[in-house]
Amino acid sequence: MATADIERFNRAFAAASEDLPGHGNAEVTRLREAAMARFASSGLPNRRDEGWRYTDLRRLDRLDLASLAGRIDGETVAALPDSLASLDAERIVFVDGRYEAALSAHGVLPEGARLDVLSAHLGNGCGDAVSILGPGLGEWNGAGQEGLAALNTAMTRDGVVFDLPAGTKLDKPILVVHLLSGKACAVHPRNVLRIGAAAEAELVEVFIGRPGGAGWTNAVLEGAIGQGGRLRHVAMMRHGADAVHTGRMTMDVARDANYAAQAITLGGRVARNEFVVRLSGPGAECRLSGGALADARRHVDHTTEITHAAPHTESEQVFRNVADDNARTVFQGRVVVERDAQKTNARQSSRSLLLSPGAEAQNKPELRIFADDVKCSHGATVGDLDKDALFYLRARGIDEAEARALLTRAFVADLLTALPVEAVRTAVEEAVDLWLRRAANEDS
Amino acid sequence: MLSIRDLRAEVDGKEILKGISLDLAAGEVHAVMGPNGSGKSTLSYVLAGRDGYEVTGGSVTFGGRDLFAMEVEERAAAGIFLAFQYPVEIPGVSNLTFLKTAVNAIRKVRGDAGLDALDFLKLARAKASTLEMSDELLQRAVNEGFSGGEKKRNEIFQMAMLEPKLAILDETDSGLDIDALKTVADGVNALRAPDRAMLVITHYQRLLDYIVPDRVHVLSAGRIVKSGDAGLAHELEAQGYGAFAGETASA
Repeated sequence: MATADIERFNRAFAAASEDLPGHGNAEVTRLREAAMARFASSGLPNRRDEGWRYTDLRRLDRLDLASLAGRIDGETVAALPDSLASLDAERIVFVDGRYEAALSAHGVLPEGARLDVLSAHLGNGCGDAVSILGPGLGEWNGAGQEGLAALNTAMTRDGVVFDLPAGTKLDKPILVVHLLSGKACAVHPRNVLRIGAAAEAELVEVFIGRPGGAGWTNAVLEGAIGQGGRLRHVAMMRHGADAVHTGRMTMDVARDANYAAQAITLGGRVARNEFVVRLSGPGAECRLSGGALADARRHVDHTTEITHAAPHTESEQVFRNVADDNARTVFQGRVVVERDAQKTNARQSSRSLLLSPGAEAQNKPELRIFADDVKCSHGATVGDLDKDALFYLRARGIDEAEARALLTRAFVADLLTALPVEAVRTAVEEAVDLWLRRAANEDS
Repeated sequence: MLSIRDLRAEVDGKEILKGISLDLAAGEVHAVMGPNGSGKSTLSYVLAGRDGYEVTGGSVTFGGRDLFAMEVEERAAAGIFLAFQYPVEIPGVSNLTFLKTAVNAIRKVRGDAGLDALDFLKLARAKASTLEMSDELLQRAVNEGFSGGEKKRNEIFQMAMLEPKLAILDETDSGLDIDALKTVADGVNALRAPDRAMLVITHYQRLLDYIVPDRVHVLSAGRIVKSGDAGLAHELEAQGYGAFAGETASA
């Protein structure tokens, strides 16, 4: 990255630093400055980086990097769908990256469990800050976003810190809501999850921007699931039309533990979500799925890296992307099977649906296998709607626009039915139907 | 109701229908029989409006309207129903969702109010039971994982739900064992009505033992070479198509 650009980020960091939580704590300051130095050495990823060939962040050049003093405004809050607003959950809400206690509701948890916000940790200068901001999981892989994760470490204002002790189970999902006013500012949420052995939880993250909004969200989630633990995780992105989203979710999955995650991207101008998962103990499993419905000139990138680091580990990936108009979707799925990870089973399926001649889809599966007794499969397809099915529906009286909407919805049906929390399923279905109606209305 | 005049059509530049004329009145059941490649399925697809079947001559009117001026879905809304020879599997769309969308789309065009979920379900269950279709089949994705017989029954079920004016049955008997054939034929016969016409397209006379037609037309190399009453089907069965190949006749 050009020196001038680095300077721009450095200035933003200097301007924000006094206002960032943990300012005044020498340890936190040291960690932030070290992270900023790492970011300066790598810069923003660009298309010369192998993992970023398809996704261009140059739009960020025009962004005001100064962080805003978040203010609740009714219109931003109203962007949250009713189904989620009324969900019985441990709810934590951020507006433009700042915690909003008035909109949040998290109550009594099982003994030993802890759910609070990062700013509280950093503000107290407690020793935990090191394990949260230190070079932890988020920067351990080679997928090429170290720079963005480092920038997040340097600039993060808030996020969720969640600890669930061994053997406990939450009876409500955790709902983390990021409301974005759509102003041209940068937000760096940082979430940390530690799920104990045989503990179970559900996490729902939603990023909702005001329609037509801009801004950049650069989110990092780091987690670890202990032996025999389970985490179901859904991330739904509904940003404003000019917003940029880069998200990176890293998870370490211990022996016999299970991680199921879904990322659904429905808005934004440029969105990239990375899952980086390490199956570190025998019997560990993960299932990643996700997809996008993209129109106009939107660009959506799902990039995954699953490392099978132990024998008898299992992974499954299911991605379904739909692109209309001049939109572009990207799926990059890397599976690494380390030498000792015998009896690994890894499956990957990516299907892309193109609804117009100007739409594009990129699929890049990548298997790196260093063990010799493994089962790995991948399948990728790109196509348009099945003409026979369209004719069949129309021959039953269903007009073309509606027939296309039905078939498009069917294409993503696997993603919808697999969503774990009903309110989330409802919210996503509503958003999908809205998107499909938009397409139908344009056609007719 | 349906009037076909000197209809010519081609597929991939090859002429398949070489001048077909046929009149079908309300309440009548006509059978079109012919060997493979005679143009039977082409005729059914041309009437339903499938892409890739290009009409090069002649005319078709349905209820006095120019059929070829109508889109596929307009033809369906006007009352044309094609029971497919090979019903299409549509993963991810449940049979009930599909049918409810279709029924309400057609009702809308006809100026009727849409059925709500409950009324629709009642109607669907009632019609399905006469065709021995289980609830499970109704809930499943359209035709996905259905046996050949189940697919054909599903076609007749859709026909019962959509109550067309003209039903075109394209080789509905193919792939059916005798029990399934009887169930399907019973379903079709239950739908015979004074205001409904049917065009039964088949290779074999067997189906016509159960759905007895008013007229039988023999199609050969894109032309109707002979027409007659139900007895013609038995003649064909006894003599084979070869005996008719050279003949020319008008409907």
